[in-house]
Amino acid sequence: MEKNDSKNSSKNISLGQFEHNVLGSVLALEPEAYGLAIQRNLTELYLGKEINLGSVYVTLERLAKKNYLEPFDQRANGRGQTRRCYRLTQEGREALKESASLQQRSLTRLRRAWRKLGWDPIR
Amino acid sequence: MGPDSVDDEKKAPPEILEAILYTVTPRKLRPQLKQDFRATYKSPGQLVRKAAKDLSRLIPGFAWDAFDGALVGAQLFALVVCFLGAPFTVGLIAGLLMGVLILCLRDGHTDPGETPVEALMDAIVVVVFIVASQLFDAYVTSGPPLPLDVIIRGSAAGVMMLFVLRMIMRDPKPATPRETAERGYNVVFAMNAMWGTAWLAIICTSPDSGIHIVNYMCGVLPPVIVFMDMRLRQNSLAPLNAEMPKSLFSNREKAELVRKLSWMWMPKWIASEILFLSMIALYTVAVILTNSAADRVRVIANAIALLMLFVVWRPLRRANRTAGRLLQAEIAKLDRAEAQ
Repeated sequence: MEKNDSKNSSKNISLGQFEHNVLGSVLALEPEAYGLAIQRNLTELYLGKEINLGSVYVTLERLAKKNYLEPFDQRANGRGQTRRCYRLTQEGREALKESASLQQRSLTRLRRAWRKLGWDPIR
Repeated sequence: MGPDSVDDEKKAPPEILEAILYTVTPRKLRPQLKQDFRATYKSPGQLVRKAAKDLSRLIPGFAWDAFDGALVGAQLFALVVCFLGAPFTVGLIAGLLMGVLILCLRDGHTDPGETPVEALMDAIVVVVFIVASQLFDAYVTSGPPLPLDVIIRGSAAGVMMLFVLRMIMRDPKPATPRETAERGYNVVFAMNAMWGTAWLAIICTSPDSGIHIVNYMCGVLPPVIVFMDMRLRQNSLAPLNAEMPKSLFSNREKAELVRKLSWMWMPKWIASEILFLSMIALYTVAVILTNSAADRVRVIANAIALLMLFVVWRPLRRANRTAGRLLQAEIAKLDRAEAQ
């Protein structure tokens, strides 16, 4: 039964690795998740390898189109300028949860295979 | 908000550079990227390098997301048909494909849609690019240039077809009643213009009738009828603008809506339309009766085309009224807001 449920839910959700990381960054930075902050967060995640800001915005817009993210305007430091920030929708949270669980399962399986070979690089 | 916003005022990029980048950036992200570029600005060279790197991912990414196979196929087909008659060389095929590629990038740049003026400008730019690339190709390879009649026909028909395709298939979905009204106005205005152009093309390609006075009346009267009706309508709408609303902003908005409303074909009486259509009918009958059998096929083909224009007249009239009503509702809304 549980297997069937997870099968059904994963049927509708398709997140790439980068999309998964962007959603994760938005969740970590909420409520101040704007383009540049997300890019910096991702650069940290990728151990200093600079992530292209254009790729971040393309992914953000793609996720917003899929209804996983909701853009909203927020004033910066109470001044006149507004920034376009993003927050996760309920669908986005579910997609991220599903994607994380898939990654977890994949990692577990990988570890099991590695252990058979007597090698586990992720400790 | 972040540390970036504090840096904004310390160092700002040159205005001209910022304006260029603002124009190149896809419309949807202009304010955000402007802020981001300001926040990370160190020197003009650094900004240009960063913008080139970011935009080279952003624009193709947006173009990919906005890719519409039906639109691309239709545009390519239209261009091929328009330039039929020219020898299909590798250079011409490459020119047409490049033209479509430019339109695809433009789709990403203007996502989610564009106005009729933008659609027209895109069509002109791409057709000029194709013609120029063919002339350049002929100059470089010393090959035969594109025949002049193909250039003229291809350019005119290409601009028209690309414009119509982009206007219909890249129309942004309206989100608010105001956007619905504006969109209605844009579409109906373009339809009116196309109807007028088609009518003019048919009249210009029809042979004259043997009756001089009918030729003269048909040449002069229909445009006069349309112009007078439009003038009368604009005059009748003038008092709407004369009322002095309190806020200048709302006044401007209202003036713009009234101006648009005045361009909709909504005559109060049917007299002008009857006069206009009777003139066309009289002319067509006179042409059919007074022309020799040799010209009959062309004359009858033109008569059928006129009949088709007459058939679409009614839905077009209805579309004008609907768009007019939407604009009137928006004007009334502004009036109510002013009164409060």
